[in-house]
Amino acid sequence: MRVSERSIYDGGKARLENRRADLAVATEQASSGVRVARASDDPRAAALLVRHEGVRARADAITEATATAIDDLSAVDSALGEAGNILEEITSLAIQMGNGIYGETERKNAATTTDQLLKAFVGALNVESDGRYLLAGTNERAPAFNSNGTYAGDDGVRRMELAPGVVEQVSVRGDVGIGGVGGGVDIPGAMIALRDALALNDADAVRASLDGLNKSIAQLSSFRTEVGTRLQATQGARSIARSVVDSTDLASARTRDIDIAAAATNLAFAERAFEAATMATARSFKPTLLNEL
Amino acid sequence: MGDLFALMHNGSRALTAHRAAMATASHNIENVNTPGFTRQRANLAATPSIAMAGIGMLGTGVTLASITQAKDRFLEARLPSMRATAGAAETRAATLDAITAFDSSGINVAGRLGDFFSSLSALQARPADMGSRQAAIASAADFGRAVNAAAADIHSARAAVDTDLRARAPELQQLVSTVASLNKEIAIAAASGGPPNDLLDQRQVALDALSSQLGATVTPGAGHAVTVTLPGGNALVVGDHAAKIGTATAPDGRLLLSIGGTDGSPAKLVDGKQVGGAVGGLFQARDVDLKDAADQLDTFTFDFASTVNAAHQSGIALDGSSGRDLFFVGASSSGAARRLAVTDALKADASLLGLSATGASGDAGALATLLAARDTALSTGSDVFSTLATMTSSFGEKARSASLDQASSTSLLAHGVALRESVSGVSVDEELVNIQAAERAFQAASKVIGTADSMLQTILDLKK
Repeated sequence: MRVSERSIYDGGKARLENRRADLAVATEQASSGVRVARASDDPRAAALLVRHEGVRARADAITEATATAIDDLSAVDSALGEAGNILEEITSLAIQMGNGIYGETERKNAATTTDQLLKAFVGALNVESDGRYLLAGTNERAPAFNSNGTYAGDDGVRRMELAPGVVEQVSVRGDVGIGGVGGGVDIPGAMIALRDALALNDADAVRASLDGLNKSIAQLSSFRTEVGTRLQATQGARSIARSVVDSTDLASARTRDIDIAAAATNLAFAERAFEAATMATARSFKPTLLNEL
Repeated sequence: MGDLFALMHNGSRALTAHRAAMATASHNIENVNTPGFTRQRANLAATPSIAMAGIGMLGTGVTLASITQAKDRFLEARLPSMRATAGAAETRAATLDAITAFDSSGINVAGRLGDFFSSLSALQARPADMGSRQAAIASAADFGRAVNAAAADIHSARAAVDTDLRARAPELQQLVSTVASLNKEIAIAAASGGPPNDLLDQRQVALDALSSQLGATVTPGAGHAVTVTLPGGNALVVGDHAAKIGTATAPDGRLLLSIGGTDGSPAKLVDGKQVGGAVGGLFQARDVDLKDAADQLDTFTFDFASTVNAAHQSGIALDGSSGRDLFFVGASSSGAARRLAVTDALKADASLLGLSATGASGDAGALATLLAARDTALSTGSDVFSTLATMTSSFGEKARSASLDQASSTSLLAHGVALRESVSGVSVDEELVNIQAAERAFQAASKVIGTADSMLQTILDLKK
């Protein structure tokens, strides 16, 4: 092939430009660590990153939202534990005061104690977080129970997405678990029955109240179990969501980021290629008859 | 004696021929860096021999037969289409490369969309919390701005094409006028002698530029004249008449090229269907690639905002009201991406976010419907993130394909130009050798004249 002057210079220029462009790309990738910065770098990978973004955001949202639900359920669990202790104490008092050896004075004192315990019980059940009464259903701005234990909330429950497309209840109903709505025992009512029987020094009524109190203990225990179950489910969902976040981050990194070893090799190769092109181009300019004639 | 005079005459003719050969080599060297220059060759030919009875043919020397250009007609015919393809690929790739709307870094619509749903999701636990509500409204506004920015990115790239077209039109006019003018000069020069090589080169430079810019095709005519036409058939140059080239806005709002007839007939508007080359690449990028991207983004925005609004309308705000839109997006998909924004009412008061299905402040029943927008199939048949992913890969494929087309067409053109150079380009070494050869021949011819002169003197001296 005949080689013209322009071929020599244009060819040298093109070679240098190409090698410099390769070097720029290799330097950019090695310094940024990113392989897919633009949609055109790898369209399928770019689309995959968008899907990862959606999956990650969703899992991250579940992680964040369930954290609040877990805090709420933990607070309710703790409150129910405290309420259970109070209920046990009241039941012990009822067993004690049902005995015929106690007289009116002891029973009236016990009635006062029971009333104080009832108030403590209600106080425990009006558990709140950031001004939200956690057992009040969706009417969360007001205490769930008034001072005599009457439920003041509604029958709403809080639901939350625990996995993509899976929405579950993450709150419990105070009206059911404590108020006995739906066939259960009205626990504050059982306490009030005891208090009133004690105030009237009615030993038979005191003994009769034991049945309601024992059922209350069982109901409260069952209610707490429900809370524990929901807490466990929510914690499990959070754990899964966190692992989805981690695995998605990993998958995104694998899709988006460059292999550092490969990037370093490419950079070294690009540098060498550029040096070689520079040297070859410079040498290709030298041989000419002009120096000999 | 007559033979000796003839010998001197032949020598003189040889001097002229070799001087022309040297001048041609010199001309080639001097134009080694002239764009479009085609090396020329001084074609020497033996003059007719004289028949000598019973002896044979007696040579009479050399003459300059012609000075021609070194050209490969096949390559010259192939190069215009190579230039057109490379020109189109370059402008298309450059225009698409400027778009950042679908990059994983930067505007990142998908990231803002994810944030929007995350902020809504956080409200599941605290639907009445004003801080969380304001955060959700802020995320919705961020998403809206990201979509606006993506739309503006595409729009500004399309507007830049218009600016480019306006800037190119005078250059194109200059090129066609140059070709028409050179057609005339070449015809005059050709009538008074051989082919006007340097004028042909000047015209070829303009023709190359027209091929590259418009994908123009060249049809040779009589007397070295050429006719230049667009791929769609519009004539740009006929003889010494050039078309009037400008820009004009079509009824559909697009800025197009207007080509006035070479015979003075009214201008016609031409778009990417009638034009190739760099301008064709600009039309392809603006009217097909970027239009598709803008339309997809608008449709996505309108579908998604409508879905969210429908869900939000069923939600009850903290003040008990309902029926409000969350996003303002307009009545149709056209331009939706540039309009998308959180409604003024919600921007001003986050308590108007309709999240409750029952009216209770702690109820987030309607929020579930809002969150379900994430999984709702849009008009594409896919959910919102899948639609975004498809848009991203669709645009990415186009940009990548344009980039690969540019690389391959540029490489092909470079190869074609290199082949042309190998035939038509000047080699200084080769021309130095030609000069040396011409010099030697000139010296030898001079010697012949000197020898003939000496022989003549010898004869003249016989009389003394």
